[in-house]
Amino acid sequence: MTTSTTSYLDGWTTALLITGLVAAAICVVAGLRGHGPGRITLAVTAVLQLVVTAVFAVYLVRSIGGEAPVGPVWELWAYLVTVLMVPVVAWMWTRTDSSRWGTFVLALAGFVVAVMGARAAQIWYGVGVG
Amino acid sequence: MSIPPPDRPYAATEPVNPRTSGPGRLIIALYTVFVVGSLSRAGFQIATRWEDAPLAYSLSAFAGLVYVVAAASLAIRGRRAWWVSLVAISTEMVGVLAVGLWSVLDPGAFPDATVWSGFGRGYLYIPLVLPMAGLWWLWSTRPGRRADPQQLRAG
Repeated sequence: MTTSTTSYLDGWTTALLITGLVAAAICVVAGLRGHGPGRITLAVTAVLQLVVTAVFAVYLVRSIGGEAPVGPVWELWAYLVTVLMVPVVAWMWTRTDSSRWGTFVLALAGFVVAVMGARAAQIWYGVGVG
Repeated sequence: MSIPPPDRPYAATEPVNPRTSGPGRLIIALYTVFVVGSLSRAGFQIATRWEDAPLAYSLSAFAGLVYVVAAASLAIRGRRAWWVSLVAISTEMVGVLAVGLWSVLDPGAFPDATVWSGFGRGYLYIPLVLPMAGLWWLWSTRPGRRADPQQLRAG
């Protein structure tokens, strides 16, 4: 597994990590309390999508500007494209399930975004890439 | 917002697929994550550095295919799809236990990790828990049982 260094945690990655984990925590709590996807949980998912889109744009601008990841380019973009789709796909899926389980799917989206976003940053900075 | 209230009762005629309701949602969502992750990874590893760890990469690809079949068959209604799910998820259960044990006893056989190495240690043990959840869910929605989606969704 990766080393314990945190040098890949730049501003954008930290923002994405915190947003994803906070969104996941809010949705887990709402789900445990028996709530289906509601105003708050859908709002944090929308915020998550905004942050994900911003992070995607940052990597795009860096790449167009001539920078390149230390790790494999394909792997970076595989993660970024996946992360870009996760909140919106989770949102669409909750449209047909109004039970607490729809809220847990939103929580999963937040967690997946946090993990995959952190991994994308590790690939960019070459942390644990071998 | 057209989100119906959580207590919306199901009409008897409403075409509800019990396996995609309630906990099934979360289980299929998890499978989808693993489909995307394992297949894209295995595809690239096999295409670029097959020689490094052929056993690990073929097992990764196999695991990815099992996840595809499990996710798809869980989302499809009907008795036949249920049986396909049962075979796929049982294969997954055996796979993660066998590969997990193998990778612990003979680490040299796996120069590069698979999803199932160390019982899915690199993936928060989700590969170990997921087939258990899947089998429990299949049992809860087995054919012939008049599953009450409302009860499952509430629980």
